[in-house]
Amino acid sequence: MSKKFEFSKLFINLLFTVLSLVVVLPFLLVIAVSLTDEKSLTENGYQFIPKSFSLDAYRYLLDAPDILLRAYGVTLMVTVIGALAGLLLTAMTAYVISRQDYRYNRVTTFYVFFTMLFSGGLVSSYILITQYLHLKDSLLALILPILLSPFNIMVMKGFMSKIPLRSLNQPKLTERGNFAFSSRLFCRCRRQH
Amino acid sequence: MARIDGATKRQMAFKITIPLLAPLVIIMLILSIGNMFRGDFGLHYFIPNNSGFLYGSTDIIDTYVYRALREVGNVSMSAATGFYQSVVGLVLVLSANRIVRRINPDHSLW
Repeated sequence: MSKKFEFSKLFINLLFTVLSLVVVLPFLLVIAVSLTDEKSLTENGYQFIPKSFSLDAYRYLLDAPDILLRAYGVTLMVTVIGALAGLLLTAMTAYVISRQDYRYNRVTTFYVFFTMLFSGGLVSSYILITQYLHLKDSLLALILPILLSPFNIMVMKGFMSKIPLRSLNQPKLTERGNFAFSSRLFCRCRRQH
Repeated sequence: MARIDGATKRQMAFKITIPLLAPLVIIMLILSIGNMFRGDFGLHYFIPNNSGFLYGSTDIIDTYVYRALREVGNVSMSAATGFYQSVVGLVLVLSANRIVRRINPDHSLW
């Protein structure tokens, strides 16, 4: 296959090069600035190649490591617990909404969908979280408010409704009940994707 | 499969890929129209460093509500201002969806 010069290939490559540069260069700038001397920062500003190299910033950070460690611990815990609990709750909600024989199907779908379009704003969220849920000054305030996202519920509901129910409607499953049925459904979702 | 039929790359991109992407793009567009009046609170609060001189050009509704709640202490006024954002967003989403439904009912949100 001869190497032809095509303008479309040049354009696509150029586009992706520019996009990658736009993403990578700020990160490199931050790394370079973190390795610069404080004085040269005030004199020369942010440079890609530091005029005077110094590790003072890192020394200052690592002198008291427990602050950093606790911050990373909090981040890790919030992320792990939030992701697992959020996935469980989202999957449960989406499964229930996707079942056509659930009587309050349309009402619940509207209820979830409406919160995607309309919310009370900053002040009402604050009043709810501090006065009614009493989450002021606790770790749960970082985890609980973002567990369920209506967009994720809608996406999961779309996945689950595309799987034909007849293939899962074997008599042995239906007599074991809804939990076995829904776990088969999740495994089928994962396999199909 | 269209490549077998002899379509060029540009024809493939414009006639097949974009029409297949169109429903999802339009749904995300309608949802984003509802978020038009919201702003990036972190950017507009921390970069001016909360200096009073820059309020004329860097103040957005979110930072105004935050400042009114913390410093002035007038809860009802800041709640009303935040609520106004949501109401206008809802009206925008409803009208955007009605317009899309009139053009092509398959692409609308409901």
